[in-house]
Amino acid sequence: MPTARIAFAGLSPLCEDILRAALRERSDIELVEPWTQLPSLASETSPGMAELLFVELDGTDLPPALRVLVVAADPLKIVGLSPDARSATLFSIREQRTVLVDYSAGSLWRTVVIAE
Amino acid sequence: MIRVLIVVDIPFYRDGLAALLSQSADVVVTGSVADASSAVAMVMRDKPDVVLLGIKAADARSLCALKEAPPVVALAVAETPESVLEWAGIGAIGYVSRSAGLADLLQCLQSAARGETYCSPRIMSLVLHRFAADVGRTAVLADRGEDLTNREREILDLVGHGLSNKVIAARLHISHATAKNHVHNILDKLQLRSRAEVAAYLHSHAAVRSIPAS
Repeated sequence: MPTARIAFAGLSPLCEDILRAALRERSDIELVEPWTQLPSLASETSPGMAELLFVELDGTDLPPALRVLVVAADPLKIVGLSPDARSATLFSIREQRTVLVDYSAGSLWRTVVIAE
Repeated sequence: MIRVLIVVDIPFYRDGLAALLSQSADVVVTGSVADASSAVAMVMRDKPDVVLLGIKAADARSLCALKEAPPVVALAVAETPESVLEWAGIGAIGYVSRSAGLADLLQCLQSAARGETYCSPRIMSLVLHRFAADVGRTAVLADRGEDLTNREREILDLVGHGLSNKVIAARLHISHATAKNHVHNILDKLQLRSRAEVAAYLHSHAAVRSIPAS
């Protein structure tokens, strides 16, 4: 049974291919496509089900439009990957913190999705 | 079946590509390492068909210079002429840009294994534009060279061989001031600023002949 829903928005193709391949081994994570179908965007929340949107950041901050999304679609969390895929930062209505540096796709699922 | 060595310094791509490519029926990953020095030993030992490089071009030189180096594919190449030409200069024959996906990467690896160049239409366009600009510049410089007198052409050759004004004057039995004037006129006619640019000009025109005996 899935315990988390995730979606990708605007990742580079190779990055997304790698994440998708690693996801095949995770029955506990459900991939939602397109990302606009994430239930939290329609204010539909499921208790015990985390929702995370993965995006690629230009710098270290979340673009204003996505900040609005974090507030409007709480409890949705956004995971911002640096363009060189060396760090991952978690953004929620309550916090912003770098959660991984020099990670693999597997550690991303373990550390970010499952822990959140 | 293509045997590929992955040399990528970013763990996400190094591990991710190793897993992703291993799922392909056409690819065997012989190893994955983070730097060129570790890769050298693996190239010698495993003799991969292709090396996939995701490190700085400057760091890849030692690996690419190996006599036994297989064809090299550069990963996440910035789509600028400078970046592509830098990789071309060290011997890469395949280019996978940041906007490429797995299908592009597999096609690039297959082409490289056959010894064929593979790149995106955008990279090809950048390279051809740069090539056209260089050819145009060479043609303009060649036109300017037609304005030189026979004496100036003679002195141009000597400058191109690194001779000083003083040595040129002695060689041609003219005064130092006359030699200096000729060099000044040559630079002016060719619209060059230094003796180094003269050498580059001659090199690009293959105009440096064997230096005449004194």
